[in-house]
Amino acid sequence: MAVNPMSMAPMAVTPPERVPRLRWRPTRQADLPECMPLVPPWLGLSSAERAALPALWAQIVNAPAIYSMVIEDLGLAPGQRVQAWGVAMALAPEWVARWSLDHRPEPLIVARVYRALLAGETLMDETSFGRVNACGELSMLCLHYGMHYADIEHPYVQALIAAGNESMRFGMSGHQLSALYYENAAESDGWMRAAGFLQRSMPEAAPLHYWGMSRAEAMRTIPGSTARQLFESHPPRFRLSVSQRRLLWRALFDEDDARLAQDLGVSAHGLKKLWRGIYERVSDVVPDFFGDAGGEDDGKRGPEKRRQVLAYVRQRPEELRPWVGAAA
Amino acid sequence: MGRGGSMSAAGDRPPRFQRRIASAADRAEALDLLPPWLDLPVEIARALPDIWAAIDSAPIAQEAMLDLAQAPGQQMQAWGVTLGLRLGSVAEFALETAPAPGLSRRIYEALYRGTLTPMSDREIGLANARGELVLLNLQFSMRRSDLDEAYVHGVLNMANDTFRSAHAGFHLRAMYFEGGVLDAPYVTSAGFLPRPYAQHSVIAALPLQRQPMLYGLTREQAHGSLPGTSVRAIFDHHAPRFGLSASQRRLLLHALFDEPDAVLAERLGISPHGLKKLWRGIYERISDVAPDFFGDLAGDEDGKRGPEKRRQVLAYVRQRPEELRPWTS
Repeated sequence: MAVNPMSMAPMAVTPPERVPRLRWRPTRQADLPECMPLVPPWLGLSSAERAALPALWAQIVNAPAIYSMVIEDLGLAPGQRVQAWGVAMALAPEWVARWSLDHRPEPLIVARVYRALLAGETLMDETSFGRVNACGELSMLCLHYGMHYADIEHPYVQALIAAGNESMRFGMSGHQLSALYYENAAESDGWMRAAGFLQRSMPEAAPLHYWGMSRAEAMRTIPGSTARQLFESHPPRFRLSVSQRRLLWRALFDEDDARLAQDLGVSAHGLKKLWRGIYERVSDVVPDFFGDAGGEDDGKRGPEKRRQVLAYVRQRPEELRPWVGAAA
Repeated sequence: MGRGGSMSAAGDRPPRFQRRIASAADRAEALDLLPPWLDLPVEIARALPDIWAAIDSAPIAQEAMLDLAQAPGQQMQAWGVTLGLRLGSVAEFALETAPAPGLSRRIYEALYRGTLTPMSDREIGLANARGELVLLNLQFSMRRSDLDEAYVHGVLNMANDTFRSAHAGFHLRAMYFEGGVLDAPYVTSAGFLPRPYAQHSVIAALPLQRQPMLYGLTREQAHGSLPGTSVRAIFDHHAPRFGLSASQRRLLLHALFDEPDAVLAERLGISPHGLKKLWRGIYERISDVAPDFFGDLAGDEDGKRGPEKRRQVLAYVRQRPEELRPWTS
């Protein structure tokens, strides 16, 4: 059976002809078995390293420095829904320097990142992430975006690419980025260019191509593309805590309280307490934020307050990102 | 950002951009943002809020783009208006070949004089289901337009988000956009292609800020390119699943902005009881089509778990905008 060059999954002869019902959302632990076949074969990892990825991802999938989205087709049976998986990682400035990401890095960057993580090196923690974000020194490396199908002329695959663009715009915006980096297979050149990434040179001919965008390049580019959009940023206003931001991020996908509590590993009571803390923090910073609902404290109007907060942060994603520095 | 431009529009306050479906108050404020190339007669310019309100009865949203950090009356930073056109009008205005310059002005005039009426929900539904829907962005304008300013880039990023959410989910034959010659950098960055005018010489002698320019993208052009830009994104279409009514779709469109029930009822001009009834109708319709959609909540007949059902519906339609569009097959 042929293997899709963009993933290690067996390649179907043609993508499905059914109407896709695609939806993107943050990756959960339970998704990982479906995600692993979407790790591309071109990464340059050994069999042993590849075999270690499920355990690694189980550890890092909820880490603050990891951005991970699945695109699922709700028209398929549970357990077979994940059609694409995109992951990126926030990088400390020393990692950018170590791999020469701003110059001419050696190919197989992502393999070296995975090796470092498998060897026990740690991702940026929340505080370091917040610090580099507030300083405008945050860089992000897109690790991979894998789909089950490679025929990019097919409407189903184009729908997956379109959903990948939307999930990236929504999921990665709100950071004060210094640069974006993306190593990808040559077969992906078309959609990398369409998404606004700029091709970089690598020191030797390789099957992989290197793409990116720096803040200076983004600022010279008129908005319109996915890559350009990720550089739009403003300082947060509310300075919410880690757990409050995590709750809001998950709540943006309209999950019910039981699912939110499960995803965050808190009790129903703990979840209520988190929501209350968010309302209090928002009211402290902007006393009239909730208008008529602001004065009540018996919790009866919690759903309305929740809607007001979500309406705001849905369009102001900087409130969801780590930020350790001067207040806005 | 913006080659040295400041992000702040007034003092040191960071912008607080927010977009929303336009209200009557927004339409009044939008008169400040009429672009010079539109060149409307005074009587028609004055009537624009009424024309926009009439167009808004058709289910293609007008969205206002605001900076809440600015003083009231100065918050609107950008304004866009889109109209669905019957194929007869597309031919009459020569949209698919080479129209004369001043297309938006002529269409506003026709709407003002009643010689052109907005498409009804049913007409849009029929055109949509056949893949024959043609949309024309009559105008997009910004309070500030210096493309070297960081602030203007911020407004443009918001405008791109707005454009995608307001136009996604239709089964488009083509999307056209009349703007100014000076708008070309950001209109083409969003993914539009320049289109020819007939009688271009009529406008060639005008000052640049008064010269209109036509842009567009057909379905064939969109599908011949890969996703990545805002305009390409709105051509990603799939047939809706639930076949919701016009009032149900209208409620969902507004609910996507997370507004409380009181605001939703006011926006839709219905009572709180009418609003509850609409929500119930949506849940019933979805359960009829997809009996397992609500999972454990399906048996909830007393409505106590309505908010959770609402979240499930909104989670779905937020990323499946075809459910929000008219579809009459």
